[in-house]
Amino acid sequence: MNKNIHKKFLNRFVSDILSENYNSANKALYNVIKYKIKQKIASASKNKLF
Amino acid sequence: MSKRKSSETESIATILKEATGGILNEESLEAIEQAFNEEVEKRAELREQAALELQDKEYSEKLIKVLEAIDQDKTRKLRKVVEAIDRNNAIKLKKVIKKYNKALTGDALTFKESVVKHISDYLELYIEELIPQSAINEAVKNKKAYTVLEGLRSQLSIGSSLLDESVRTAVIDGKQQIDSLQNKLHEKEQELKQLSENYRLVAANLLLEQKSAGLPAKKKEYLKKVLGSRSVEFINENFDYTLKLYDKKENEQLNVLKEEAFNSRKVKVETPEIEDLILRERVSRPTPVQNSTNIYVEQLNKFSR
Repeated sequence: MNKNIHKKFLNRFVSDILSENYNSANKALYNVIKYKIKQKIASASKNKLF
Repeated sequence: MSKRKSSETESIATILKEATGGILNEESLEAIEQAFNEEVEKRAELREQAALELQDKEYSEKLIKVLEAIDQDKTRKLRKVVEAIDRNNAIKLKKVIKKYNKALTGDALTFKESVVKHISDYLELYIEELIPQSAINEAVKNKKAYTVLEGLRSQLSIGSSLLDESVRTAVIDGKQQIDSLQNKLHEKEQELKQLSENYRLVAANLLLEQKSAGLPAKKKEYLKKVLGSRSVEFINENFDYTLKLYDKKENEQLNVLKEEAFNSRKVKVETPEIEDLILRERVSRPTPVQNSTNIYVEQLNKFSR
């Protein structure tokens, strides 16, 4: 689910950049980075650390 | 024209000279000739103007017709040219539209997808560089350890205040005080319980004394034995019943004594029927336990019969 959200935000970011809507692009980029880090944390949690 | 005029002037002067036969002198002839010439010139000018006007009119009409014809022709030609240009431009525009549609639907999407992929890869690398996976793994591990420790702490009831050295002594002192106070409270509770028990016994004995005030000593002793360890409520409820039970038991004992006395008498009257009856009754009913003061044993004997 996180992967889809991240892709959705990435598409929005590119669309906003191409249409020169930089404020919205900034938010989309923030969300992309947020979900990427969440993905990393989730993958780290899935690894059996304990 | 001037030659013709001069020839005409010569001819008019000649004609007048000939017609008048030399009556008119040269000056008169010249004046007439001059007047004649002026008049002729005036008229010639008028005619010339009329002719020119007429010519202008004709020419302008013709010119208008020619211009209209040229206009119509040019318009027709221009329309054809415009139509041809429009057709050409339309075909070209259609081609342009097709090209841009293709570019928008196909190429732009491909471009966008490639841009998305590149940006995603770039962000991946950037985040990996800034926050390596090993650091995230460590953070997750720490977080999990912290959660486990919190769980253990809550399970073992170890508060965060206990972890602080400065507070630990005060907490231990408080714990000791609480424990000693709890012990004291327990002792007091025991004392209270003992006092309550004593009070209950005293109250029960007092009530028993009051109720059995006028009774004989033996009855009083029996009542004390049966109801001495009972509560006030129990004594109130069962005093009369116990008293009646005692009377009944006493009567039975008296009857037994009477029978014994009757049997052990020295002078015997022959009353076999009565003796038989008494004997039968004794066989059917065993003698109650002597000196049995326990009401419960007596009741059990009754039920066992």
